[in-house]
Amino acid sequence: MQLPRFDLKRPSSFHEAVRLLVEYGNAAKISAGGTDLLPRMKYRIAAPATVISLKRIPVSEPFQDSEGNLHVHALVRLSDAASSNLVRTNAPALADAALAVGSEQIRNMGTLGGNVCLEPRCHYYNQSHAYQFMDPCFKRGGNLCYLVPKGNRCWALACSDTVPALIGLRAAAVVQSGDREYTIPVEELFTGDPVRPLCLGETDLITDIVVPAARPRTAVVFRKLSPRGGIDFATVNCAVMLKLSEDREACEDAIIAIGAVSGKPMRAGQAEKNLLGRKIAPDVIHEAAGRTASEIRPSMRCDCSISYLRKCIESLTQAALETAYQRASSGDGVKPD
Amino acid sequence: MKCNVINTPVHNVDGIAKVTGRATYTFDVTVPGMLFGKILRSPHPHARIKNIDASAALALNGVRAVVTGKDTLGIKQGIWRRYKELCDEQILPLEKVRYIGEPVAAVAADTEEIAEQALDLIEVDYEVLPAVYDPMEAIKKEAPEIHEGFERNINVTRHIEWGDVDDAFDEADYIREDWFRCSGQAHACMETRCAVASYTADGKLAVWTSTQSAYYHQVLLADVLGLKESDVRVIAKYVGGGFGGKFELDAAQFCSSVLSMKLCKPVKIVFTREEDFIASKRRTPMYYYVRTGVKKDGTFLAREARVFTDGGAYTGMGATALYLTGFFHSFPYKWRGYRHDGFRVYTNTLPSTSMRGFGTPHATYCSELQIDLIAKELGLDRIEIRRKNGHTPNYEVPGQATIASCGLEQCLDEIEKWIKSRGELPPNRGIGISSYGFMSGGIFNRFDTPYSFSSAVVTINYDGKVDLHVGAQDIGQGSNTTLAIICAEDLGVRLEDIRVHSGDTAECPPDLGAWGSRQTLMAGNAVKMAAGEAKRQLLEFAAAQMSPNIVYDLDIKDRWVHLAGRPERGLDYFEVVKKALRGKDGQRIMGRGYYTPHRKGMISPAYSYGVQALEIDVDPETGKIKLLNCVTAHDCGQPINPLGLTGQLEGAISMAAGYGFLEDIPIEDGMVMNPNLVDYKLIRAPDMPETEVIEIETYEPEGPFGAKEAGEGLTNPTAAALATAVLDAVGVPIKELPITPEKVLNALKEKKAQ
Repeated sequence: MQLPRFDLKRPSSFHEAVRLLVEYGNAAKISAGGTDLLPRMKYRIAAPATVISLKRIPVSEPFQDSEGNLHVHALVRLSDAASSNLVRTNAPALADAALAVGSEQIRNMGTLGGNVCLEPRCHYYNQSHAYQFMDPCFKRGGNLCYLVPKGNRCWALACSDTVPALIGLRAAAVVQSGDREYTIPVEELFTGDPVRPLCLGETDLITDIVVPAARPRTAVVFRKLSPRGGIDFATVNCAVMLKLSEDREACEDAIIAIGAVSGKPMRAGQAEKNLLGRKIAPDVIHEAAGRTASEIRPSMRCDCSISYLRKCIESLTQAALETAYQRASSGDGVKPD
Repeated sequence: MKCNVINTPVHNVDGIAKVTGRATYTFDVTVPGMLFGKILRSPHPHARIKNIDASAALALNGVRAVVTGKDTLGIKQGIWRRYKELCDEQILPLEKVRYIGEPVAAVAADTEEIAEQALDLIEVDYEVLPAVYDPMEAIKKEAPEIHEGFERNINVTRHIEWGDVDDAFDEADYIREDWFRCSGQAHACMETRCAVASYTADGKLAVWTSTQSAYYHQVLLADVLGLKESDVRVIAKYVGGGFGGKFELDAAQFCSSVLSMKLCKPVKIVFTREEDFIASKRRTPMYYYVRTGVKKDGTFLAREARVFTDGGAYTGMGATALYLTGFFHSFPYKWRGYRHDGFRVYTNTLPSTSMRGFGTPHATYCSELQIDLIAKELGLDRIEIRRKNGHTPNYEVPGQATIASCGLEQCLDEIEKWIKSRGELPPNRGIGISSYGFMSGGIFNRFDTPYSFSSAVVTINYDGKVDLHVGAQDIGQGSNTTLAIICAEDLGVRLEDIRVHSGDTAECPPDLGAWGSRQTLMAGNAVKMAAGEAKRQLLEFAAAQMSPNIVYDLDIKDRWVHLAGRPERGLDYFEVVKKALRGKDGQRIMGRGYYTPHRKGMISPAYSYGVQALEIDVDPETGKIKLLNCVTAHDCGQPINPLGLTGQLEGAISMAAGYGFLEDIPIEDGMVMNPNLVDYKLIRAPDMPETEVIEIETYEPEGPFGAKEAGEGLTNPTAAALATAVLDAVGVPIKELPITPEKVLNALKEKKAQ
């Protein structure tokens, strides 16, 4: 299958890229690696007249500022993010998540910023519509959903692997908006509407991801469940953060973020709250996993049932919490006091 | 037997061309002046074509021609040529479309891009008809009629029976019945279906294409295009995979030929991956009912089975899958009474056809899982019950097949040993086993070839180097290497002395090609005969040269022509060839060989046997299965190339395990849900188990040097072994393929509730 014709713009700075976005507006699409955009263009579900490739923008290495915050350039390749010592040491969950994306070839092209902005996916949407599923669904600008025929909204899934990890790390995105720059927590980037998944303005670009300095007695763990070893989008993914009290027994802070089961990554707020102040023990972890599974509401999908997804959420959360507790309490891979 | 070349592991003879990127696949073929073709396909699962208006497309700059059914002879084609009513497919239909993606028109243009644009400009007026997608629905009285004259949409029926079944059931102490459901599977060849057709003004057509049988396509194309067979040349030097999906006529071959004949210009059509998924053919999905009666001690008495197969829109090779699933469902066991009723039902979905194993992976899965359930119920050892009832050498399947070599018992011994060596397993870990067998080529000739099934020509040149011409088709399985080994062994030369010519009907003798695991035995016999004939001619001269006592036999081993029994008395092979040629007035030495099976029953001249054990781990929380170890004891008679055998085994495991737990083609209202390699789950390297093959050597009298098949048969056990492994690991039988994590979890939940 061939790519449709398009104009290629290759700005050498984010400023220039934003200027081009202003100039071309909706007719332009950003390529920050292209591993998601190009297949969609081949399927003709994305047909931008102009592709703005960010490939020529110089990429800086991840670095730590004086306060210990980790800055990762948005255009860092996923494979580089996964293998960077600085990322591995300060945010292992991010490195694990980056390594969980796609395959070697995809990680060598795909970027962190691109993965954060990954288009929500659906079996019906992510394929060519030359002979089947031809009427456009909501996501293709139409007025129907093949999955929920009587519904009035899109049910595509936000499948990014790095986003739950970044939420677990309380990371923020630095956004270039015109001449202005602002910072927004990664968690707040998403609308929940798969048709317009990002809260960003149409000419805004993420330039950096900032991960706050690691805290003592705190572990962030990423886990992914997928049909095969590698290449697949997650059936469910999950990141948990656990901070223990000074005696390393009770929970002082917790995040449970679940991805790939709905239009945006979800937090298990009740389960998190319930953990606070509790002494961590197997039954507490088990209870938290159970609470997460009943609290998160997975969307309908065509390849497995909601009840199955809940089981997976429970199992994945439990495994992640166990690992997080073990690391936080033993100090393994965790910032010393 | 002492062999010089056979049973030495070697890399494929075309390996260097492939790994250096020099092998020219159809995908790579370009011909001067070549145009690009694209196919317009039906968006409706069932509709009458009222009108096709291509005027706007033809007006587009760069468009050279648009063809529809009206530009063809309208001949209904099929691969069962002996049965006219089963030739039911017009590749560009005149009246009706019967599945989504069926071709309705084809365009040739200067570029692929223009051809694609032109598709949007063709107006087709359809009258949409009611459609049906499931065989159990399509067989109902009120279901829409897909083909005229086929009552209840039943395309083919097949009854197989021997012994007194009812009487045998009467004697049974225990009877078990189960329903099973087996999914479809995509061939997912690396090279999608493609063709370059070049028709020239002298009335001759050349077609480069990706095929399992150049000869089949020569004949099928001649039939539908109204040409003489010999005016059609099919060239397939390198083929990027077939797996059973590339020996029927496909739309790339047909449409490029029709366009080329209209324009007298070469036209290339390459399917996109999506077209390959939606609009080619697939493994036949089946509903299986199995009833089995046994004695308390585990002796098998009777089996009765009914199968309903989803035929999709056309017959193709799918009718044979019905036949073979019926026969191999009895395999590899002895039954006093056996009855199998098969119904192939048309539906408005993509047609189903042959795929590696050809109905047998289904049959084996249902059979082996049920046998394990029976053994469990009766408290019998699962190896013992298989040993007690297994085929033995020289067994005759009543009225069906004569078996000569059979190493099933040795296979069971080896697998039993391996399982014991694993010791006590941790929880949620299990080992599944499956016995299996397969044919070494089919005897049935529904294609109605008047030629021998396989043929070969061996030519010895002045310098002693050998040209081997075969009609057998190398599709990546390594048949050129196997045949070169057989040729070198028989002639007494080295492998590097042989140059194999295959995949071109203009230079190679006719042969039915690569299907039914037939080439090692059938083409191998033809090659052996041709090599033997050439050798005999050479030895006549050698005898005259050496003038030994008349009672001596001559032989050639490793390029040394000598007296058999007195190898020190001999001559250099190359010198003998040079002299022999002069003595023959300069003619090259040439031997011809052929093979057609006779008096070997209806199915196959010989059968491979094997037992596979598969160790898996089941996550009871998510139902996810991890494949750990796979050990296969396989009786392929005399192995020809052990490295090729390992390649076949590992490839088979990836394909067959994929069928067992990952691959599926869900269809919704006739539409394929996962027509891409992201959502269609092929096994990847990290999902593969450790594999080991234990060669069980037997001698098959009908095979060349005692060899039997080692290709398709290896695909038969793995889905079954996976199902029995799940049963062993967590105690639940999953009676529906693929064995997804969700099915495992649901079954566990059900078990807990009981």
